[in-house]
Amino acid sequence: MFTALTRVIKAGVVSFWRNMAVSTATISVMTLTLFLITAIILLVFLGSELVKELESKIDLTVFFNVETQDEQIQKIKRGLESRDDVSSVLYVNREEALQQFRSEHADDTLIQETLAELGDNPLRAYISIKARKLSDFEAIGAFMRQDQYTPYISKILDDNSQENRRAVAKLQSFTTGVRKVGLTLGLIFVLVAVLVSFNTIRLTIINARGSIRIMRLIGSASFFIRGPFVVMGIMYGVIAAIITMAIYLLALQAIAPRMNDYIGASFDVFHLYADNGWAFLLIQLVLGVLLGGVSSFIAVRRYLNV
Amino acid sequence: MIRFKNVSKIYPRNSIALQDIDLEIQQKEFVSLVGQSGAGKSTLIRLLIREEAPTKGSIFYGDTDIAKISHKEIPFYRRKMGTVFQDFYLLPDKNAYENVAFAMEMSGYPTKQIREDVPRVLKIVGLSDKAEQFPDQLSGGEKQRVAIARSLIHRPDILMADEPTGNLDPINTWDIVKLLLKINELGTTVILATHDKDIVNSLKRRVIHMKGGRIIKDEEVGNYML
Repeated sequence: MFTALTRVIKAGVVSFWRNMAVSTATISVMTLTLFLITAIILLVFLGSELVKELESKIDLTVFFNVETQDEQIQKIKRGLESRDDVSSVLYVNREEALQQFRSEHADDTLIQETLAELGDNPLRAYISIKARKLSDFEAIGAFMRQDQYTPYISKILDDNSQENRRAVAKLQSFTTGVRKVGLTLGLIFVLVAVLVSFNTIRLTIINARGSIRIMRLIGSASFFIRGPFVVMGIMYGVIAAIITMAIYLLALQAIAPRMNDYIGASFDVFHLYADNGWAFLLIQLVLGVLLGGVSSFIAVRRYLNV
Repeated sequence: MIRFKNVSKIYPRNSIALQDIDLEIQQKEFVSLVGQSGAGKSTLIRLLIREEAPTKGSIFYGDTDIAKISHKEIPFYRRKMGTVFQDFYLLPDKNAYENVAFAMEMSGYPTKQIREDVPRVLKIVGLSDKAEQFPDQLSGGEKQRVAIARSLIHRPDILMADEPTGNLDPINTWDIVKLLLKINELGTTVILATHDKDIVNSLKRRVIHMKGGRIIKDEEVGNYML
């Protein structure tokens, strides 16, 4: 079986080189298809990474009155932590808040002097709440605004949460849009690639009619006659996947710094692609092999009666 | 060995290629099928190698009705019979050795056996010194010898030659005829379709005359009478 497979692959490779002109055209269309599909995946991936980053920045901060006791705040904290929609609660007491403020404004002598003159700690204790989902902030806010807590609370700050939530919602709708448009475009390109690949294999079969007749007459098994054409189709896909991968690595290396500046995220776009390079290559290879393999298989079934 | 039972082949628009053929060919026979173009010789060979199925009747190879052979089994059936054609049907980008080896490779023979069998069969057809030559570097007779070598590689029970000398000069023609006789002496049944009167008359073997898709004469030792 191994010898048979080796011979079929060898015959497919030889046929591929001999039909280089049509092979090149097919690989180009397939590369374009894989390029587009990768772009869509990358954009959606980039979008979800941005959403994750923005989401990690969103919180709801509750400032307590100066008089509120530590025990009471701990109790409220435990109450929040027991909720399913709360992912984490960070408690910063007055001393820690002061230390934080001091270290943040260590270079500002005016602030340092004012704090020294005041003597007493003017800062309030606060808790910073992160929700599991963006939509959970509404319920958490309502929970904190209950009558039983209002006597202890000085202020609930959710400006940052509202602003970021709007940004995330925009980004999410953009990502959904990309996914929809991309899916439509992707399907069109997949269809074109399958048709071109199918046609190339068909032409190759027509060109090889003489050899195919000879092979049939000398008693070649159909696997040996059909196999090389399917190998050719798979080769189109594999080569297109490798070219697509190379284009992305080179292009992203060149444009990533400018993209990073524009997006302003903490991650690097090139590394986002390169670190997931194997996954992207695998997707491209599987897609390429499917496109080439399936279209050649159909062409062989349709035009090569052995 | 081979038996045609009331076989007819009718193409669309009622074009009759073969009609009511009853025929038996025994093992180790040398049979000449003669007749003018369109007599039905090539159709009979195409039915035998299962390139086509009869419209009516049955063809038996031993006990096997070849019209009922499944698509998967056809290659295995064809390996039992060698075929040689007027146009040689060699692969132009392969040399003589590779053309013969290709038939074995594509049938799944192990590499070791291919290396042993190909030189042996090239020696039988007298082409040991031309193994590296490509078809366009060979004469017509040499090309036909390569085709014969290729057809012998599966050690067939029957060799079918459809006008094998049609494109050859007289000297090469006789070389090929002698080679076919040698193959027959070694135990292979040979069916030779030809309209070369001189060949048929010199063979002094069985001759089947065909005309208009019918067998009109079948002689144990015959001459070309048409």
